[in-house]
Amino acid sequence: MDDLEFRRRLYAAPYDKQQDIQQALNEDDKRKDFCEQLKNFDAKIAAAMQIDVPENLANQLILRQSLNAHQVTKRKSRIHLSIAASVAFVVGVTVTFLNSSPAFTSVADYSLAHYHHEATNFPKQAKANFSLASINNEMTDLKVSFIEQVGKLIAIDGCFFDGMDSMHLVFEGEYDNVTVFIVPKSEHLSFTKNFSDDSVQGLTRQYPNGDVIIIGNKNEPLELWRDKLDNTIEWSI
Amino acid sequence: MIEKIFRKKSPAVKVQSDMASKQVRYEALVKTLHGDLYRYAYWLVHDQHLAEDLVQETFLRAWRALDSLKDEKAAKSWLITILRRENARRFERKRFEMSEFDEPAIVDHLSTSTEQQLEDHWIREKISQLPEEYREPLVLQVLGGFSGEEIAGMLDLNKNTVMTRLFRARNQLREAIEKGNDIKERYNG
Repeated sequence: MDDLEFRRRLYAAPYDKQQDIQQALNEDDKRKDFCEQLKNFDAKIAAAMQIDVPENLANQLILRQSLNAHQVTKRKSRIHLSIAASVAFVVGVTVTFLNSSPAFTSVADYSLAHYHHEATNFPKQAKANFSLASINNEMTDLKVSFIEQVGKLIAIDGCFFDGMDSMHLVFEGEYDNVTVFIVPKSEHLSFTKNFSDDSVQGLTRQYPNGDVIIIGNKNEPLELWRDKLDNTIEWSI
Repeated sequence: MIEKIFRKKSPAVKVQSDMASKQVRYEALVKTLHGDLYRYAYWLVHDQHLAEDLVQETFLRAWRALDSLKDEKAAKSWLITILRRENARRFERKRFEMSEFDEPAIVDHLSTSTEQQLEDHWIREKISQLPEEYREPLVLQVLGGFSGEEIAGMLDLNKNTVMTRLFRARNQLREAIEKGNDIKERYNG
């Protein structure tokens, strides 16, 4: 190893333990001296680099970390709590909504479903003679009454019209039974004036205190029925 | 029922003991290495307060990532790597705040110092005047006790470059100090 290389190596790493350096050191006392000088010098550098460390630094570091960790856990638990609260809220709202919300959103759909469900239960002709008073008596809960007989009544009964206490009246029509629902005002069902399906048609009439739905055979002049009801029906408070 | 409660509680207890052992590890790390780290930071930025801030940030990050430190022997180089990254981030944040040529703030009380302290002061001044690319490997070698390979790994350089820089660092320092001694002797004479 030549001198230049030796010096370069030692300058870069005075404590180099590699064999070639150690060997070069042993070959020459001058080199040994030089190495000692360099180590001396390095010790000075090391001493100079040992600047004072702020006294409380370690404690500060530990304190700051524990404060930080504390805040993080607090924040975390708050987040957990709020997530739990949100989930509970959503579950609550959903359950309430599902429980109370009807499967039908329009009067037309519901009326048709209700109609078809019960259509076969009624005879085609009126057998009993309902007095006007007895009809009106049935309907007192709905606060509605007729001034006169509307037609030949086959059946009258209170029913649940999509969860609402309503009246279900079946009249003898020209072609088939005419079904009339009298329902209280509802907010969740949308009203369409006319509706129909494959076999029947229907129309609705809205009053300030309730609504009337008329369903009958496709050939039935439902408008006449509606007008007649219009003239006969009376709402009380 | 009671069994259920206990089963529910045991993971929490484990988490707590994990936290406790993490805390012990962290505190040991702080106690052993905060001095080295502070000095390294100081030689990196030449400002006591900045160095302190850097060390604070570094240890906070170290706490968060403590689980990723598998080998305690590697802790020092791991922390230094975090600190260097923090320092680089500081430059991204406030590039214009510090001028590169700010006079290093070296605190020493010349009037009440011994000859040894004077010499230290003198060498410190020279160290801080070294170009950063020479100073950093030197600090890592002398103060950190890292080998050429280790420094190369930490600074993302190849080993020959590191050795060359170390050579130049010592060479420049020696020359500067010898020149200084000449001047001093001339004044004395």
